[in-house]
Amino acid sequence: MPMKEKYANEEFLARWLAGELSDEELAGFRASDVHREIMAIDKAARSLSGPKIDVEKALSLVTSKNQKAQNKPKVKRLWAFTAAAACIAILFGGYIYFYGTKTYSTGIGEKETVLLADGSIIELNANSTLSHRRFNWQEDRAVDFDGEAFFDIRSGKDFTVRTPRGTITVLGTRFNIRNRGDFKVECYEGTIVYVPLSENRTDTELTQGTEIQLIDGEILQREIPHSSPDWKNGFSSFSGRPLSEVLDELALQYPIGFNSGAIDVNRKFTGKFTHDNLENALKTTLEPMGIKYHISKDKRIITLSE
Amino acid sequence: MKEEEPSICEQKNYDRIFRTHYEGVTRFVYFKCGDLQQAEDIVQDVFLKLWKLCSTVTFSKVKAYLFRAANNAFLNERAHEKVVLKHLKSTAPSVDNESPEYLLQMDQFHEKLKQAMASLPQREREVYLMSRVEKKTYAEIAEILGLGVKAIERRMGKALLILRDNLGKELKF
Repeated sequence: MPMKEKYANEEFLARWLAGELSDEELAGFRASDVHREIMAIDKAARSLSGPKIDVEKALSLVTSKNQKAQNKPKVKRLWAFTAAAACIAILFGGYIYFYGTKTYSTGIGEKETVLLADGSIIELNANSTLSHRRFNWQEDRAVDFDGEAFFDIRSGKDFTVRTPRGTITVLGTRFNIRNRGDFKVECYEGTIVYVPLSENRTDTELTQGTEIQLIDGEILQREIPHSSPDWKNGFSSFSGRPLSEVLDELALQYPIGFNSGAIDVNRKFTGKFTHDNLENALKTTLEPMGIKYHISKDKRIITLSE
Repeated sequence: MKEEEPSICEQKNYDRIFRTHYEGVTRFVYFKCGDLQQAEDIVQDVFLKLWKLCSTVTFSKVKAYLFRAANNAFLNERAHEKVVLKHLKSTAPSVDNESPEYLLQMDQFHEKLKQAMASLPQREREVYLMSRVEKKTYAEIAEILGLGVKAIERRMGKALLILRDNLGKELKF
């Protein structure tokens, strides 16, 4: 059947579907069995409908899964936190490196010698603190300092010591600073300048062999009777200082506390005590004053009495 | 200035997309694999993925995305077993004046038709079913499959031919 073959042909049907048949072809095709059969099949197929699908049920299922899945990205967010933490750590580390300070401090009865990057030597007495910038320090030689120390500064640019009671600026000298109950600067070599904190006071220049002492806000200048600070030789000396100051100094050099009771601590003391023997130190300071003392069993508390 | 497209990440937009497209996409996959449960699983996975990728898919392209993704997911599935289109239901026009024999014959014919459609090659089957059951135009089918209209017409022609070869003898005139 050539006619049938002609119509039952993929290409021909495609052309028919595309509406590309000529009128004659269309008329011929419509009269054929092929057309009738196809139309019957199509009619039946068109009467079929797709599967029933419960969209809302599927939506609620997917939504609940979505909400569970939302926990997953937390891993990523943690990553971000880690990255942020690392950034902060790096910034912090960088800050410490460039702006951080190095601090040396001594406890009761300790002494420490600090060698700075420029070769200057600072010897710290007990209970003292020294700090300086870590990075590029030599460009701006400055240290923050409290307590008592002996400075041997290499000559060079200005060297600045900032204390809570004023600033000492030097070029290259040897000097001692004491900021305890009293404040004292002793210049052993070269020239140094003391700049008080309050601006309405004038700067004081110290030459070799002089010292200044800040007593009740007044600057007292005089000659130094010795060639190096006493504490460097292992003792503390006082001339006409109140007993309370002596007791404070003792408590700095030895791990002890005083129970002074009814003792008058304003009595003046002149003399010195050693840093390496508590018994001797107590004997030399308290006996001449006519003060009896009792050392507690753990050697921590000294009880004074007349 | 282009108007801002609605974000799929917002639940209400996502729900809207789901309600609009879920059924169509599911049927599309069903026509391919002939297993409604599998089709629903595939499409639900596609929607789960859409939620995760909500910021990367634009609202206007979501339909194309869904069909494309469903098609890919289907291709990634295991080789599907024998296709059975048991979920196709005849919406038998309730014609009461037809004789019982005729209705019985129609029922039998529908069964045979379903078998014949199930045995069509997958590419022809999806085109044929989308066209005849879903009543989509060739242009719409072409868009969904990412093909030209010509290719759809060719597949339809082939599908018609195969169906006629299988069912022609059943038809008595």
